[in-house]
Amino acid sequence: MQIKFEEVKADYQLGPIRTRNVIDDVSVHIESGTFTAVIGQTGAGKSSLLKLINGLLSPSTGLIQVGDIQLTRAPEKEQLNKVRKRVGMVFQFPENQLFAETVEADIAFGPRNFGFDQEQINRSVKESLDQVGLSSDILNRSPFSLSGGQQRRVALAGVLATKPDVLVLDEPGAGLDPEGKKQILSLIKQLNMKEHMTVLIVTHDMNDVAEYTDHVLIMEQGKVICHQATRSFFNQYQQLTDFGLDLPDVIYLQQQIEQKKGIKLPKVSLTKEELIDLLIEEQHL
Amino acid sequence: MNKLILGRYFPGNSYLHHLDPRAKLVAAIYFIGLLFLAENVLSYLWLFAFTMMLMWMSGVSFSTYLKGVKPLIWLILMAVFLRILFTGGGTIYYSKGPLMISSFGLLLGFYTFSRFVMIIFVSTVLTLTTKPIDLTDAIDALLKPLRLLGISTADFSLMLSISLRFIPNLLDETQKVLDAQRARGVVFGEGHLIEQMKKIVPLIIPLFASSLKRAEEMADVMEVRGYQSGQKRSSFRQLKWKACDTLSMVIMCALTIGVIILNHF
Repeated sequence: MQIKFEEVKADYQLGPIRTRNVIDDVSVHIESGTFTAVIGQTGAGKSSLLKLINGLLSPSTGLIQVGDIQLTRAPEKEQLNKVRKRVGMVFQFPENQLFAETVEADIAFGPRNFGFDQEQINRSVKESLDQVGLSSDILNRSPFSLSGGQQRRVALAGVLATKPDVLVLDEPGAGLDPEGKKQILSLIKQLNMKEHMTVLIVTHDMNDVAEYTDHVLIMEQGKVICHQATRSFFNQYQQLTDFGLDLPDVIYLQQQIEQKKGIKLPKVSLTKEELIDLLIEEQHL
Repeated sequence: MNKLILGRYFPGNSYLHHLDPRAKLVAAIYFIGLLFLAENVLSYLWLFAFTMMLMWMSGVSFSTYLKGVKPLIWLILMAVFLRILFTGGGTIYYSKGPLMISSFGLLLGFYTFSRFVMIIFVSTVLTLTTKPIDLTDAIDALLKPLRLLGISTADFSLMLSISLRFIPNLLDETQKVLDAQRARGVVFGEGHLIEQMKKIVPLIIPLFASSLKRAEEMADVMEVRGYQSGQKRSSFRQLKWKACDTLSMVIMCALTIGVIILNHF
């Protein structure tokens, strides 16, 4: 499902304090089936951008189009419900939203709200549990008795169970050990590849950007200052320093090898496998 | 959630912001007591004028104060109606069984209403212009005499400052969980009463869980840093009584004299 922002501005309100234009005149077109990394410093408007897609935040001007659903300044309830059904949103530390007595009830919460019937609910609970790689033994346990990594996966399953076409995630790997983080991200990558889910992910880790995503969207002070394919973005890796971003480890390694050996590889490698292949092809190994 | 004004601090630079929190706290409590001294319309107007002046001085818009009254309006109206319906005397316009509408009742209803509104306005002025942490210092200072009776006031004020400290966090967290459950298809504020109450569960339980977790972490951190209850401790922030604080006390006295005089008209 494609997502289109047309001259969108939005304010953010927390308590009595209203911050104007946290999203400032954004026009972006995110193609169906892409895996986009949203990068930017704290307060750049990344989370607000995600919330706009899900209708949790409404624009003050402009138009957001998710598939054939249009969201404007004052969206209708039906539109909101529709868009929330189509867009699955995983917040930062999603395990904080778990509440039900059993894992099963918690995962079934979303589908039930969206009006799935009992059979569909049972099926989607099983499927999503399978997708996140948890066994059905835990269905009757309390979500609060699970480990942090398991809780996060249950929360993710709770979102996947609503069968969204678009998945937006706010730092899904934050606070997990490297192994847990890798599992979650590979899982999301699989959903993107196999189910053609359109994925947007907020991340600070350039290694993840290089390894998993195919598009990069950089935000600064509510504006999108860069939106391009990941490979071409890293091809001009000089510009990364302009944006104040680190190089991914692989590219750094490639750079070091090129410098030490006085060679220049034909393209930038985004994964270590790619770098090895490149080196073999160019007969430097 | 965003409508809750009472208990919020608005940073500012007004005369009221600079007053000693002890002076403000004493004055606010005193003013509330004074409200019960007022006996006629004139003295109520006098106090109301003073309240308006305070609100103007705080530099916060009037609509903000009205928002503070809004969540409590049904409670106030309830109290007012009970007053009106159960008070006899003066001219009686309507009566049925024990219920009646009399001129005395209407007057008392008006008094009750203005008392409530002024109490809310004044306490809102207090919290809008005083940092919560200053307020707890003030409470601590005012409770000091209790120490002579062997009551640990430090624990009490610590408890108070911790709970005040975490109100913004709790609000932020509520907003987050609210959004997260909305994203999972909950529509808050719809359906009949039972349905609405059911929808609160996915909101309350995560909040309880995270609050308990945080309380435990907090206790651990305090212990690690060597906090012990019942110890004599000094304060990093020292409160200073200034001339303007004394002036504000004098103004309160003048206000009282005004009420006493006006009560005779």
